[in-house]
Amino acid sequence: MLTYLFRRLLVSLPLLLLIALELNLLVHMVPGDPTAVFIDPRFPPEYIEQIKVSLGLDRPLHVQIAKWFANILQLDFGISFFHQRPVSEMILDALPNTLLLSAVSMVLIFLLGTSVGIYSAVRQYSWKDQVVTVSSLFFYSMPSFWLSLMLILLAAVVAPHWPSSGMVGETIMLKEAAIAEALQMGEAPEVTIGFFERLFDLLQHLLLPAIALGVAPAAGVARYTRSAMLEVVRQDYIRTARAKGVPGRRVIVKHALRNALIPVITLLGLYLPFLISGAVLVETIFAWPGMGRLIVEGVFQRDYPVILGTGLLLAVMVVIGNLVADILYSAVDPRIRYG
Amino acid sequence: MAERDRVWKPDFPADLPGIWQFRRGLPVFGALILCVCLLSLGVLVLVPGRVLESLERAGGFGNLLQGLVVLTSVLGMFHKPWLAVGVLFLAFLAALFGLGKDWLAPQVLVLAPILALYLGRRRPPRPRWGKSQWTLVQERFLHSSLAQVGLAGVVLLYLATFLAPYLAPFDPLAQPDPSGLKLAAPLTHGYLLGADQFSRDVLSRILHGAWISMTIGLFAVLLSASLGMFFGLVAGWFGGWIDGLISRLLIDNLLSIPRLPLLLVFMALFKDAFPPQYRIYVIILILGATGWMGTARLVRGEVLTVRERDFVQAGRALGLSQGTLLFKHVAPNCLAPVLVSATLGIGGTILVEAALSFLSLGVPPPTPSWGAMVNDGRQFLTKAWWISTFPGLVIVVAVTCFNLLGDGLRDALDPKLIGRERRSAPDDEDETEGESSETLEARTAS
Repeated sequence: MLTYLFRRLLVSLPLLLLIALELNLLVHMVPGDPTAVFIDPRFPPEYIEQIKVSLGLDRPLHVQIAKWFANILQLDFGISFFHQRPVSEMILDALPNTLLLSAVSMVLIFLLGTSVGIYSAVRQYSWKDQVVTVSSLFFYSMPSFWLSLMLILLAAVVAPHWPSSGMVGETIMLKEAAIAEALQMGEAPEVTIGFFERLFDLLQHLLLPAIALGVAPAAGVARYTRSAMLEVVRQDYIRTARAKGVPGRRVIVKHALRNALIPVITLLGLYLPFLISGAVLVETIFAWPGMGRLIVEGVFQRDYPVILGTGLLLAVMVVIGNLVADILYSAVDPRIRYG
Repeated sequence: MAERDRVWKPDFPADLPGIWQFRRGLPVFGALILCVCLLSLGVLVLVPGRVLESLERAGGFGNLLQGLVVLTSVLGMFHKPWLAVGVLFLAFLAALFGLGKDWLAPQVLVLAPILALYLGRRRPPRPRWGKSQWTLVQERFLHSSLAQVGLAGVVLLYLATFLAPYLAPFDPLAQPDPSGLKLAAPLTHGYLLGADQFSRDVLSRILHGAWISMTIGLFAVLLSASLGMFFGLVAGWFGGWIDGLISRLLIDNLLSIPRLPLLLVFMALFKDAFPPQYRIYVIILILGATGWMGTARLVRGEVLTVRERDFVQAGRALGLSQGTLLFKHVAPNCLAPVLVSATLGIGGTILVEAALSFLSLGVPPPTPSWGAMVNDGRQFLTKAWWISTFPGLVIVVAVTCFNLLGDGLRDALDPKLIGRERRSAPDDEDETEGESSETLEARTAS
């Protein structure tokens, strides 16, 4: 297993290098001046030249790319043109937020998806199954950005004070500011933020984006689970279990479910990169300070180091996701062994 | 005698060729016709003032009526040809009484080819007994009413794309009264689905936006399906280093970059490099070029099994050239999964295009597109919910239709799957077994 892991990682290294090279070429192919976005064109040209020199944009293409690669090996993604901050720092700020959102919606996807799938599979061809199947197809076809807006609209009607943007609520932010001010003055802060207060606030902010992000994949998982379940339920060992007099619910939960979930579990790894890239739109709408927003802002500000850094990270995520899918596959299905 | 018992009895009107045989689909189409009629009646009843006004205006309500006439007559073709002729005659009468000036063009343009096709059709040679493969597929397809709903929806959407100018009650770009009619609510001032912040009619913009989504979806998928077909065929047939080159270098490479961020980066960085009127072609090209990998993998897998079949061996023994074997004999046998994945792919492409438009990286602004409309309504979400809601709803419905159609096609083309779901055949176990070991092999190989 370990050798297999090692070999897989070794094989994917050249792939990642290739992708990094392509990203670089793509970015350098762009017509126009990258400095035009963040420098006022009325500045004297020699000043602009100077900035270009300091950013290394004056050097020939292969030198720039080679330098970028050399820096990447030291985990240095360069400095953002726009924010004048190291990209690695920006990514480290954004990544936990995205992972939190992804993890929550992942739980939603698999809990909701598998339970709905099983529900409709055990009631195959009843009207309930039909309704669930059609509506899951409907949700499956739903664009996440529209669902986000509809959720915001719904929240605005049902619960007008429900937070629909950002990660931290106003009261917490005010308190934080007060604490920071007090600390700066050298006094003991008067207000405190309780752990549960913070958690509750975070969960409030998480709910809408997690639903918006999770519903469409959950519908996909439900469809997948349903067909996997139907395949398993008709097998001989299930009939045997039924014939032996095992109660219906127990047959489904203990005997059928285990085998039906094998293909579903592999989806888990495949959804990893999707959640991070799919979060692009949802994060932008809900102003969630994560990777998706970083990418979108970087793209619109033509912030090349940010684009390159996040792009490479996404590619790494995909490779890891595929690997996780394979490992999970062999973990749940002992017939498959990698050597 | 046994031969006579097996004489083929058609269970549908046998004088209808090809696609017109969707006999079981007729109730669906009948319901659609009814809906269209009710809708037009609703327009007449709900907004009488608007009707009078538009009668005076060229390109107004008259166009809506004409579009409905065309739609009804095209749908009527599915039922009874004389019905369509009758409706056309009614359209003539309506035209005589002056409902608009340039009324003839669309009817003739749309109906002439269809009528010509219908009248000049060649009846398929009737087999004495047994059914052709496509007849079987058709029958299986007609077994599912959901698939027919999907088909009907897709047909309607494509009809709407090129009838949009005649269906839309307003000009999608006109801003009749930007201050007075700004954000007019649905069903007021003749706006069925309300107006946006520039007093443009949401319904008309949705109808015109269908053109963008449907065109991009269709052509991008045509491109990606042919690319995927080509690369998959070549990789699967030749194997060896060619397969390695295509599978590892092209497919794995492109699959490792999530599609949406890639498109985002590309469109954002290069959008000024092309003149705005060419943007739609750039979108089609880039969506097609980034969407073919799944199809290529499917086709490659299919070729790997097909090339071991007896008829290919026979072809080799006859001395057919590689190209003839590959493109004439192997390729048609790999077509079924491509058809399914392309149908599902159109839905996916519509979603991606909408996402790009939503980030204003799609077709440039004055042209209406669904994603961009959802984005327009974002800042007026609580004040004017209709601007975002309706275009998004149409996206969902359109994508659902393509998914229904794709699912129906898959069930119809791959009866193994349906058999597995519906009844337990004795030889099922072998198939599952073979498949799992095959996927196992594929997984360990990669």
